[in-house]
Parts: sequence; structure tokens; C-alpha cells
Amino acid sequence: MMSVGRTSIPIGVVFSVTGSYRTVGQEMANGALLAVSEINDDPSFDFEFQPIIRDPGGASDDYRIHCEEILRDRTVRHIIGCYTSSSRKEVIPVIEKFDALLWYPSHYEGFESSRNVIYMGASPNQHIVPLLGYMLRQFGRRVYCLGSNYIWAWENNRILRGIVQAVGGEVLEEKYHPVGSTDIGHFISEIVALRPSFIFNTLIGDSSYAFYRAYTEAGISNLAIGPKRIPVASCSLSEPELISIGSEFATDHIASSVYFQSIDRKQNQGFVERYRRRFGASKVTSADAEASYIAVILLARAIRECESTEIEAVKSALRGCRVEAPQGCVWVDPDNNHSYLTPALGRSRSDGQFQILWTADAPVKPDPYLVWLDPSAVASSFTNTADHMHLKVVP
Amino acid sequence: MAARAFASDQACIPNFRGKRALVLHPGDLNANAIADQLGRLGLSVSMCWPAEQVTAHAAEIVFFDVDLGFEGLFAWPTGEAPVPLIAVMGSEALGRIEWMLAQRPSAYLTKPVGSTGVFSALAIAAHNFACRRASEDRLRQLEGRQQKRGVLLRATLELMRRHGVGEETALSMLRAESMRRRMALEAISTWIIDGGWLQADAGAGERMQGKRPRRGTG
Repeated sequence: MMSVGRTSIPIGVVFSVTGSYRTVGQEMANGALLAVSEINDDPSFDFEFQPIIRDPGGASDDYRIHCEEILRDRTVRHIIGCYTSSSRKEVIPVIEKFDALLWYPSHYEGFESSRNVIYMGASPNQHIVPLLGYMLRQFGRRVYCLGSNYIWAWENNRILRGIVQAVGGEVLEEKYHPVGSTDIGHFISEIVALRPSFIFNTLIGDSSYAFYRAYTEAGISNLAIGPKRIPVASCSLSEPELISIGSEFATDHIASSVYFQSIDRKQNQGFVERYRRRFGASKVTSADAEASYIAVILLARAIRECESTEIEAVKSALRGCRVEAPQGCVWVDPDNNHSYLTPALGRSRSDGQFQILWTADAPVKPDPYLVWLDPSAVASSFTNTADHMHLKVVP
Repeated sequence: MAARAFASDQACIPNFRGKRALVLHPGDLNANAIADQLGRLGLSVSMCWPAEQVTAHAAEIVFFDVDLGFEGLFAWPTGEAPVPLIAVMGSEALGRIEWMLAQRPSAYLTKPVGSTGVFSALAIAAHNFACRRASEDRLRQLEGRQQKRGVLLRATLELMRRHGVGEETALSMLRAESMRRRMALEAISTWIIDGGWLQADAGAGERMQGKRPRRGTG
């Protein structure tokens, strides 16, 4: 690092703020940019970040093209970006070619560990495993799976099948729908006919919102279904998405996430306040925004620590960096470049927030390959449920 | 190993936790990349190089360097590894590929070894090795049956001669006796060739010889 004045460090910020999953993309971009301004306003850092912002519009190819263009300028070593797994898979070869570091802020399906990626989002043992533990225990073992036709849904359903079969349950259907399509009504009649214990939803973006609307609406005329009777469980549903769904359709859905805006923690209150001050008083925060926010904060601290932007130095320095994040304490596991995070489960409320049903006692070590999972014990080991659906809402 | 871990009817989650892997490769970045990834996957790893006359008793899966591999690296006969082998390939020269193929590896990795590939190589190797084992068992079974088929043919001819019946009838007699005595068809056939007489033979006016088939020879 140069010592005269404040060095400007360019970092890539590559999120789709247009396209079918723009809601989440915007959240991630917002989280990253909020952290950039906080770092730039903080005199304890002798550098400032200069974000190079790109919008691939949800097209996987464009992620690769943008990242390649950013990295061709050899001064850029770090990119915060990607949401879908297909976009990450597209970008990784480019990142590895330029020996840069991708700070990936999304929960994902696991089974990957690149030395050129810092995984800030939840691994499967931090999202789907606790969610299934809860759902199988509370609602039963006959599961209907509905997802967008790509790797996130396929692989989550693959993990789900492994666990459901191990506990003697049954996957009634595993249906996939084209990304972006909202023609979703025919799944409702199938759900009515099959009466599963619960629905596992891995649809993303507009398809997911269309499903929540159609399903909630169907539950009004048919009391045998609907979110109160046969709940919809998701590893990705977030607060901004509840707004996109529409408040009349956004109640009683169950989500697994390492962050909810309703987490009662002073670091979270500060985060929500600063987020609203910057992006608007009506805005809500989300796991996606929090993860990209933490990614930039950790990057800044590691650079300050090692006085370099080179990736090996930054990764070494990360070993000593722990952030008291909005969700709890977060740090990167040097074993696999994934993050220690605090899993939680929530149920959506009519006010667009989540009632927290359960929170892990402490940050959980990431296990991207599910090496330490005992599938047959998932439901029985989940004894830490502090709450049930019908208990009173804890504000 | 997690055999058939990816078979469609069983959705068990493949897991290599606690398995012992042996990496026969000079201690460079490639060997380290393999060892690191194996460690993440919960395997215990031994690294060994140089190596000679390696036996597999200490490992359940073996990674080996193709670039430096030689005849005599393994203690077992060429191509008859008792555990899944994963070839780690750098050079694509003809001789190296030929030597590698002769070892009959169950999967391979190319150098430089990155952060992807090790997990799928493990899964592929475990699957292929289990499939090969199953095929070889089946082959042995079929070869045995093939040999026994000759016995069956001779017994049929013998009954056709004794009773002056056609092939179909002779076969029916064999089957009926096989079921009556709860013995394999091949065992009954051997007994007949050795001079044994069926009840049906006696019924046909011929004398029982007093010989009885021994059970459990099939």
C-alpha cells in the first residue's frame, strides 16, 4: 500500500439489478455499496474503495464478460458479486485465470471450495439442514418440491431427498419451472391432489413470487391447502421479496436464513438505520444485503491488516478477522473459505418481517460438502426449536 | 467406499468421511491441493514419495502420479488393484497414457490440480470400482454356469438314451428331480453322468442302483 494520502483501491461490484432476480441483486449491490461508503468514511482505513459497478442483467454469459473486462485491468484483485450458482460457475474460471478473489455473498447449494472464492453466504448445513430438521419434525415427512430449473434447485432437492429418504419420508414430486416464468397455476392443483406435509420451494425471483401469490390465494377458497395448513419452506425467501410478493400473500411462509431484519441485536439496529438512511426510509434489509455488506467489511479489514490487496496475503490476514455483524459474529473458515454463520428460521408476518422461530446457539462451522452430516439424525437432533407456528409472536 | 452413491433409486448423500487415502505423488502444489481437498472431505491422508511395491492395506483409495509412475510402483499384479485408483495426469505422452491405462484406474485428475475435481474423482472412482467388481463377479458366475451347461447337456443325452425320449422330456425329468430333491440342476446332472438313477428311471422298468445323490454339491 502507498502511504501518502489515501490510496484508491478499485473493487468490482457485479450484481444483476435488472432481470428476473433484480430484487435480490439490488439488495446485494446495496449492501456492498453501503459498506464501501462506511469504509471510505472511516479514518482508520488509509485507503478507500472505488467500486466498479456492473449489471449483467441476470444473463450468465454477461457475468463472465463483465468480470473479465474488470480483471483485465490488473489493479483489480477483488470482485464482490454473483447471486445464482450458474453465474458463479461461469465466473470462477475467469477469477482463477487472473488469480483474483470473488467474494460471493449468496447462500448456495455447496459442494464447491475454490481457493479463489470467499463464500460469505450460508452453506447447506447452515440453511437446508436446519430447515428440514424443523419442517420434518413439525409438519411431517411427505414433501412436495418445486424449483426453478437450475443448479440451486436441483442440488437442494438432491440434498433434501437424501435426508427425507434417510428418515423414512417421501418426496411426492420434484417439479422444475423455467427461470423467470410465472405460469405457475398448474402446480397448485397438483398440491391440492397430493396434500403434502409441506412444500419445499426453490423457485427464484418472479416465479417464486407468482407461486406464493397463487398458493396463498388458492388457500383462501380451499381450506385444505394454503400456508397455514401446508406451509411453504424456503432457503432463500427474504424481506424485500415479501414486498415483491405483496403483503396480502406474504404471510406464514417459512424461511431459513442466517439473517432476518427482526434480529434483536444492536449491530443489526445500526445496520438497518444506516441502510435506510442511504437507500430510503421504506427499505428493508435482507440476508443478501447483509452478506455483501460483511464481505466488503472483511475485505477492508484484511487489506488493512496485511497492507496488500494480493489474494494470498488477504486470505492469510482473514484468519485474524472477525466481524460483529448484524446476524452475530462472522468469520471465514480457513479450511474451506466458507463462513461461520448463525443459522435461524423465521415465519413471515403480515408486516413484511419474519418472526424468528429458532436461532442456533453459536456461529456454525460451514460444511460445504456435508461431510459431518448424519442424514438420519436431521429430524431427531433438531430439539432446539424454541417455538412452534402457533405460539405467540415474539416482537 | 460410497459405492453406488449416485444410483438414482437411492438418494444417499455420498460421504467419504473417515476413509483412508494414500497419495503417491512428489510433495508439490498438486499433491498439496489433493491432500487439502481430501482433508476438507473428511478423509485421512497419507502422502508417500518416492514409493515402491506399494500395498493397499493401509488405504481404501490410492491417488498416483502418472508422470513418474513405473512398473513396480504397486505390489499387486498390473491392473489388479484391490482398491480404487485415481490417476493424476500431467503429460499426455503416449507411453504415459499407456502405462496409466494398464493400471486400470477408476478415475483420473489432470494437473494442475485445482479446487474442483477431487470430489468428483472420488465419487467416480468409488462408483466405477464398485461397478467393475460387480461385473467381474457376474462374469465369474456366468463362466461357472457355462461350464455346468456342458454337464447339463450330457445328462440330458444320457436320459434320452436310457428312456428313448426326446430332449424336452429328458429336460423335464431333470427339472422335476431337481425340484423334488431341492438340488441344483447341475448337481443332479453330474450325479446322473456318474451313473445315478432317477426314480423316473426305476418307473421306466429299470433297477435302482442304490446310489443317491449327495446334497449340496451344486
